Amino acid sequence: MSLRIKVALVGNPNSGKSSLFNALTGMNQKIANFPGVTVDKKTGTCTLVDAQGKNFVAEITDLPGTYSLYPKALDEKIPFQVLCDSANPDYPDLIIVVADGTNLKRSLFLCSQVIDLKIPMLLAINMIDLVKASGLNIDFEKLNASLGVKAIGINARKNEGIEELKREMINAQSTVEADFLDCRNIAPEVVDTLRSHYHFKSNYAAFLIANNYNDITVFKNNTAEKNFVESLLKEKFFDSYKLQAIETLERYKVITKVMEACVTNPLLENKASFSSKIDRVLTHSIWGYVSFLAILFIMFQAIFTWAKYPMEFVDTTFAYTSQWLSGILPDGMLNDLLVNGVLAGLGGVIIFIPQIALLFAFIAILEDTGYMARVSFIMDKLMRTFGLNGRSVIPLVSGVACAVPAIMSTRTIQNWKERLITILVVPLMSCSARLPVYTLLIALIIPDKMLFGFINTQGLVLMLMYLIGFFAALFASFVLKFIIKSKEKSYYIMEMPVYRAPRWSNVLYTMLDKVKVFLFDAGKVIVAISIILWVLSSYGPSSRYNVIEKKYETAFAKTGADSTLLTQQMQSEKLESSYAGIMGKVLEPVIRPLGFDWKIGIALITSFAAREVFVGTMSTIYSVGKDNENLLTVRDKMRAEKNPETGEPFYSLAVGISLMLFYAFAMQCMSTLAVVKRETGSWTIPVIQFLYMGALAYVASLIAFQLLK
Amino acid sequence: MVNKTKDGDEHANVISKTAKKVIKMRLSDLSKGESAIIDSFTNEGTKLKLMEMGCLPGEKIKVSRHAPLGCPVAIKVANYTLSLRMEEAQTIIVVKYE
Repeated sequence: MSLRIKVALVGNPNSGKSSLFNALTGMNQKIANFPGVTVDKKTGTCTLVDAQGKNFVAEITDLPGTYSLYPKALDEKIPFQVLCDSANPDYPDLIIVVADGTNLKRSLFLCSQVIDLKIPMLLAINMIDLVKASGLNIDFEKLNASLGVKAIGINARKNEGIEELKREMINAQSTVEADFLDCRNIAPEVVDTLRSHYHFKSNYAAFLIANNYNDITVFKNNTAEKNFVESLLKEKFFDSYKLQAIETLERYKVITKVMEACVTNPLLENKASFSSKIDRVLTHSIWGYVSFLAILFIMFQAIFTWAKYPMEFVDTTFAYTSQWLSGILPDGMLNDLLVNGVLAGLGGVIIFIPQIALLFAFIAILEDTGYMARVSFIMDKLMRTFGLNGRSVIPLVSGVACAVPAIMSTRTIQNWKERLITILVVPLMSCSARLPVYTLLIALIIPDKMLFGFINTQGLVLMLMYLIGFFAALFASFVLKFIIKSKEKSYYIMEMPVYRAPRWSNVLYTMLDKVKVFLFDAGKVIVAISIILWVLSSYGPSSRYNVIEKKYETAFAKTGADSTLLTQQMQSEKLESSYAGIMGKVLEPVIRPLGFDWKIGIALITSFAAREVFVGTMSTIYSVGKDNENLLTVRDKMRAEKNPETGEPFYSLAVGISLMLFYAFAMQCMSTLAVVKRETGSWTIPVIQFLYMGALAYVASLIAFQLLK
Repeated sequence: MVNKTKDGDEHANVISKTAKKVIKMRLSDLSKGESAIIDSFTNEGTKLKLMEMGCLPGEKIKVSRHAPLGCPVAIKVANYTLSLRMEEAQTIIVVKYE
């Protein structure tokens, strides 16, 4: 039996904390959410062997990056809650503070706060290679002595110093005795009362909790305890802002002394000026945008072209497996359920993986190199007009490929309100699943003509559909900016990290993490809904089904019967009588003002699996073979459809435009809803999104149809 | 007890003895390439966030560049680059000495 210790990693953003996490845990890591919030929680294990050969298992939690234990943003609450509240399930036995060696002074601020929590700890000074290269000299012995903490120089990218750190993890079991800064001096009565009342482990934990009691479970959920703290703070005139400011200044005073004693030549100009030269181009008022566009262009070219092959592979593999499975299983309900329900649902989940993996590979590279901070820098003002964030650009543009990875990528937006607005509007961008719908409908209603001899009208309309999606997203976010209220104070204050080469292992881990999260969290919901949709569209009241089956039984029995044609006709009739068909008919009065009939009604319901299912459903309804799915045949059948009242073609310009607008705006994608639920933590936001987009679609289609008809 | 001084007063005094001309202004009014010394803050929340990140009264700052649309602004402080929006830069009072 090996001993288990809980280890927490804390550090500033860009300190290389995730590199160290990867170096320590390797493939033994998993990703989830911290309870109650949608902030990534990465945990992993690492085996430690002491001098006697005894094994320890270190359970490592990577806490969100922060500059201080005072929470300023949603994700910064986590380090505070985990490290200050000994009742927290993640409360560690050992803390490793990861410091950026090239920004040691600022890193020591967080380190000094952690020292005062009186939990066993180590200081890992990362990027020690850059420190040495810049001529900086850290006297580790003096630093150990003045902090009372063992400091180890590491280079997490190259795995240097990791073994030494692991050895020290076993040894570091005692706490620092002396306070770095005794915060009891700042507010003695409050600290003493809270400590004796709640048995907080240190004066500093008591002081921090006095400043942020609302984020600690005991006070959040218990009015009596909350009132006790509130009246205590009031009685002692506890001015949180003022006292925090005093603490910060005092800490930096001591840190300056420590730096003077332990670090020689603390000036590092070279590295930064190299970054500054790159910035002259990448944040330039013209070249900045040109290079951003070029990077986006390359990114999405790659996503579209590279993802195409694995996606086709997934598609054919699933088609082949379905065929094989339906062949070996006896005919009947189980066969149908497995092949058309479960397998089709799984295929619908796995098909997203190539795009998710590729998008996150690019995003990891952009984050890692430091370029993402520049994207934010040059786009922020523009995006803020619409209530968005500089970082919303990547999700919005990714939305053109697919809203699923795009919504997953909004985690890089720290501000909750701006992130929420981005999530809400991303599905308005025209994703690739809308393309088959647009292509079919445009071919149906827009004549293939040339304007001025060189502009293809069909292409022009297609482009307009994409633009409509984009402007609808901007408009919606502009409106949402005024509707969504945020309690959280919003800061933009961000470090612009120096440019560095991407860490390929980190890119790989990010890809794996995101794929896993999608498969196991959103995947479950998607498979469940596809099974429901399958039941709806393949079953109906048995009385009607029996009639159809009998009718075709006799038809099949006739000599010279075309069995393919009959099967197609039977499927069409079955779909009409299925629950989805009945729902489509029930829906007809509601969608009639938009120019839709019950057939479109059925397609709207089945499209919920994915928008492109529209084409497949139309094929079934018009008895076109599904196996040799032919866009032209469906188009011709739809073109031949007459309006029973007027005798004119049913798919007029008005109906076509109305239908395209409906597909442009409506939230007809269960995968997106499942991901939104995963990213926002509840069904509230997906439901709101479904309703507002549905309303938008209905109104837009209604106006278009009524004006054009 | 901790000795409280008003942010930056100490530093402003040091500067006024050595420099010919001392101008107090907002960080947002500095143009590209200009340097100054942080004096004080006008917003309590922003003040805490900035101080934790090493923007302390008395620290030297330099405006590296503005984003193409004028906001945010990138400043060099405590040996690293920080970007902040104009309304945040407005809450930082700096002392410029010529």
